[in-house]
Amino acid sequence: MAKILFLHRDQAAYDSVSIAVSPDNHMLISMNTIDGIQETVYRNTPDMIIVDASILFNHGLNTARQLRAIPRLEGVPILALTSTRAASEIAQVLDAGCDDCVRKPVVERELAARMRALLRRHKQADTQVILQLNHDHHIVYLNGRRLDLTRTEYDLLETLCLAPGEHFSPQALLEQVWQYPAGKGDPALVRNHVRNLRRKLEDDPDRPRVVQCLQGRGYTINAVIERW
Amino acid sequence: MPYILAVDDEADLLGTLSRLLGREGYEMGEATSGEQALMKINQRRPDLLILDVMMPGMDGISVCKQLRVDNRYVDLPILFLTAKNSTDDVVAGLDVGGDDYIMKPFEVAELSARVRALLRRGQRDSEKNPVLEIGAIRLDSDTYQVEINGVVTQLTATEHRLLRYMMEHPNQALSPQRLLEAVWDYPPRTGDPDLVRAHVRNLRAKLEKESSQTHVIRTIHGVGYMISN
Repeated sequence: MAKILFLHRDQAAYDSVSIAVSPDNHMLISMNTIDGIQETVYRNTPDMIIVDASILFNHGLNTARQLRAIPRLEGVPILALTSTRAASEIAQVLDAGCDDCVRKPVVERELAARMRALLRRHKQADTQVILQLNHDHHIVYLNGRRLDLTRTEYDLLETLCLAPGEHFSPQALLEQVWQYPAGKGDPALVRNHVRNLRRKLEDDPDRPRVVQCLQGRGYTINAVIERW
Repeated sequence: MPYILAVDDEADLLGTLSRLLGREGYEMGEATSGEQALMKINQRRPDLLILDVMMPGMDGISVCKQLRVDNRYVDLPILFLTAKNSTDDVVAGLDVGGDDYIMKPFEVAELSARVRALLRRGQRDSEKNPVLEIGAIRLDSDTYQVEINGVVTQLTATEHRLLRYMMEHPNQALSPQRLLEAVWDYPPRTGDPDLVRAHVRNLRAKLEKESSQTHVIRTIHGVGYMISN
């Protein structure tokens, strides 16, 4: 499910777009002006924007350029709906910063497929996880969001971040994080803390992407690490 | 200069594409079958693939499927250019991993604009690269170090984010308001422009200290700041 912001003043276009988004269960947010859009997307950043011709061609093609200049919308795909059949006009719309342009009347199944293609690419570009660690203050940001970690969770994460891509066995973590002598300590302790850590930093703790575990080799971190 | 590989079993069409897009400054490669396309892609990764669907042997849909399961090519921009023109065909092409779909006969203006849009998007994705270079400035986002004419300077986290954002938007005058939103994540129309001014001043002091380069960051009066290449 994705959040789609739809800018339009045309009921027929709205009907087509709602039909197109319904099989994929997308959430459609409607706006009939771009006034105030900066505040809207700051609170609630969409995964895609669809702009109808009824708004797109206001003040020339300024709408597309204005949308592209909003920091929160950088990288957010923009799909335009146009009434024109002229290739030169489609070219202008794309050159103004739109990622795709669909002619009206809309064929709903094609629009839905084009939206899937744009969202797929948007997600790919977005999959990079960035962890920013501050050792002195034990603060961690995950893609800009501050995580609330306990001291032990922080130490565990920082240890894994010392060597991204390298695997740490539960025993090695017991020694490095908890300072147990070699061969002592209970691996269940590590498992419990990893579970808590995942709950805080994974989108889906049951299918972890950041703190990964390879059977027989141990835990590893999959993220871009920054220190500050 | 972006490198585009065009795949079609009709030599005439390949020639036309190479001539049209070559004229726009792209470097063009050609393949006449799906098998040959995969071979050429492995030799050198194109920035964009223009792919016909109906070809003897391996068809375009199979080429696309095969590329999308290969980690190296999941994000390779693919544009289908084909005579298959039913809605089912378009949906099938996009759903196996195509980024765009154009039907033959095509209009040159639209084809070249769609090519530009796809390349632009590919460019946006590759901005994740830790090292960014513009003119004499080389910024490494792994170390937060900037190098100008061989002089390496360490930046703070905020200085780095500010410089990075300006380098990702070269030749654009960026208003303090936009920078407050993009770099400091302030809600729209909040934050103090003096904060931006102070950081630009610090950044300039560091960047222009030893390098002979003056005005790495230019002030555009009444608008904001700009880095040019």
